[in-house]
Amino acid sequence: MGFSTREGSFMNREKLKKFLLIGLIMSSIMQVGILWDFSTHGLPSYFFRAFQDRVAPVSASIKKMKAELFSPKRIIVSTGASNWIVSKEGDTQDVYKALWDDAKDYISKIIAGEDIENVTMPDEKWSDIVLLKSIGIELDTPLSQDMIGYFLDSKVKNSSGAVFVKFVIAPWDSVNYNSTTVYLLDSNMHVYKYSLAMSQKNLKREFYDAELEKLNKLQDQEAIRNYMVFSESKIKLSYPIRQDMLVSAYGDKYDKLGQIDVTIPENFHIAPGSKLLDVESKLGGILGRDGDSYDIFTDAMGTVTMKNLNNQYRVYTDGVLEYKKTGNLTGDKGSKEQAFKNAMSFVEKLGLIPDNVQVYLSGIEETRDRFKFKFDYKAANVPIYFDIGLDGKNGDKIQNAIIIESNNDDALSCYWVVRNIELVKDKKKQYNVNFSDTLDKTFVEYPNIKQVKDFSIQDVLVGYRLTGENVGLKIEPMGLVMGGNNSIYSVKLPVKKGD
Amino acid sequence: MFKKFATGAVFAMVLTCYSTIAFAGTVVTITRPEGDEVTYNQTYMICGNTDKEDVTVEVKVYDPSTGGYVPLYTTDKEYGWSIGSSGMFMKEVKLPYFDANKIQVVSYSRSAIDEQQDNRFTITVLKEGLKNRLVNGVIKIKDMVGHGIFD
Repeated sequence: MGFSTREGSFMNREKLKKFLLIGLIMSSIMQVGILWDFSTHGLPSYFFRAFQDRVAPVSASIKKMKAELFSPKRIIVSTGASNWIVSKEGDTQDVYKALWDDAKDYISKIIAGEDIENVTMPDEKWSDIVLLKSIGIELDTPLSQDMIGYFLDSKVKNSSGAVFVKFVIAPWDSVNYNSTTVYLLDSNMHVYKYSLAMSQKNLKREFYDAELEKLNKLQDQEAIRNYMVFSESKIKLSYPIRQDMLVSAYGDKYDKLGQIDVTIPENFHIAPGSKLLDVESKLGGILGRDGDSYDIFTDAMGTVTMKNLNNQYRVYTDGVLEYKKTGNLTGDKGSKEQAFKNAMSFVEKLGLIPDNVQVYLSGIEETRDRFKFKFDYKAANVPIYFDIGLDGKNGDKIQNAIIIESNNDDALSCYWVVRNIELVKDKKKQYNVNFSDTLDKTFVEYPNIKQVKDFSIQDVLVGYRLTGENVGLKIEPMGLVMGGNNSIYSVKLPVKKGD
Repeated sequence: MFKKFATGAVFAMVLTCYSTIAFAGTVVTITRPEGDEVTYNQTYMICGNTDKEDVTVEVKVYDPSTGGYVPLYTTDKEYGWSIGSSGMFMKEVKLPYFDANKIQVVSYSRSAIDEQQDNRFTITVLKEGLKNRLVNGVIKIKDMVGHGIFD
């Protein structure tokens, strides 16, 4: 009995030791967790989530964003005599979708290097190619084959490093009804020609012919504008001008366009001297589940800083959000696609894209250790350009809605001009969108423009221009001249008398 | 009779060659049309450029009923216009006649009255029926090729 009592007490002590050991292990894991994500208390579930995320399926909103980001700047249907921009909305939305799906299929086949005949053509041929009876696809930003492959979930064979800006699909270019010709233009103005077989799911030539007829009728009804390719004018100027540019020269000079109402979201209005609790309730949402780990403080100017060991957010009074990853920066530069995924995840996490706009990828830059992605908005298909000075950025200007630097591991920094953007209903006016009128006005308002180094005219279009001064105002569409080297010259578009 | 014809012909020649005689330089380069042209459309885009700063351009069309040139208005209802700071113009005109439209483009420098230029060309408008016949003809030939008739 005595033995058994001694044995029982020994067993109890062993059990106690076991519990103590388990407790110690648990608390050490907790401590690792706390250190891992700085002062977030509780079990380090995020520690395990880090592994989970690597295999987790891409979220639906990321998929949606990915599809939205890879959409053309313009789809141009050309008869050889008329050129129409097919809009994503209104009378042409069905044909837009059909043409874009068809184009994506051909582009996938080209970058996958399927067994297709291809030749490199002389660069100067491009001016002739855009005048063909064809479907033209213009991208908002030049994209490498790898990036296109990423957007289309397509394999890439022999990525040449070329970045593509335009595609022309010319089904009528082939004598054979079962094949089509696709021309590609890269950012160095090199032209590539591909001959592809039409598959079952590709649009047939009869479809294209029928759509051309429909668009012709829409033009007769003045429901769609006929554009001119600049090279058709044969005009030779003393300054460089892009010959494949689509210009508004035919028909009525006036287009009915709306205004946009731009405001800083209510929760980004932080008055100087605001109570920290108020600041936290307004901005805590952008910090996500780690909100508790942040120290929040405001300065005399009203700038809010929220920081923990690894992250720092700063919200300026003009509604600009700045993010910086702090601490020891880790991670390789990695691939552009992975860095882009990280940038997209960051955009999704913050969730600050206004409801009524379409977001698009407007630029990609690369430095030694990271990638820079620029995103911008369109309202009712009209691009919105940002031109906002920011004290926190050494007096530099922010020219994009969102600028994110990222690498293989994470988003590293971000500037985000946070705005609510609403289309003003029932306030449409008729604006003069004529190409040469806009250009004339630009040269008057910017008399030294031709002396600017490397000045050229890359595009003339209609867009909204957001500055630091026009927040809270109704913003009218402007005539925008893209002058090369990312320079934009804006002029007011004249409104039709009596409108 | 001979004398009368000769006087008229010489007068016409003087009119046609006026710009060459009066001003040997170039006020405006008319880039479109490059010469006589044929079109199916009843509108036509006239384009040009200049490196001068004060140039006015006017377009006229030959009126067979009066035997003279009358103002031809652009689709924006302009008859004459000044070339702006861009140094170019693109103006769409509605051609009044099927068949031949004899067009005259007069351009002059507002600061130098002797700098005047006269360009003339003919734009022939084909009727839609003829266009369709041509297009269908081309399609039929293409169909025959596409379906192996000529193989």
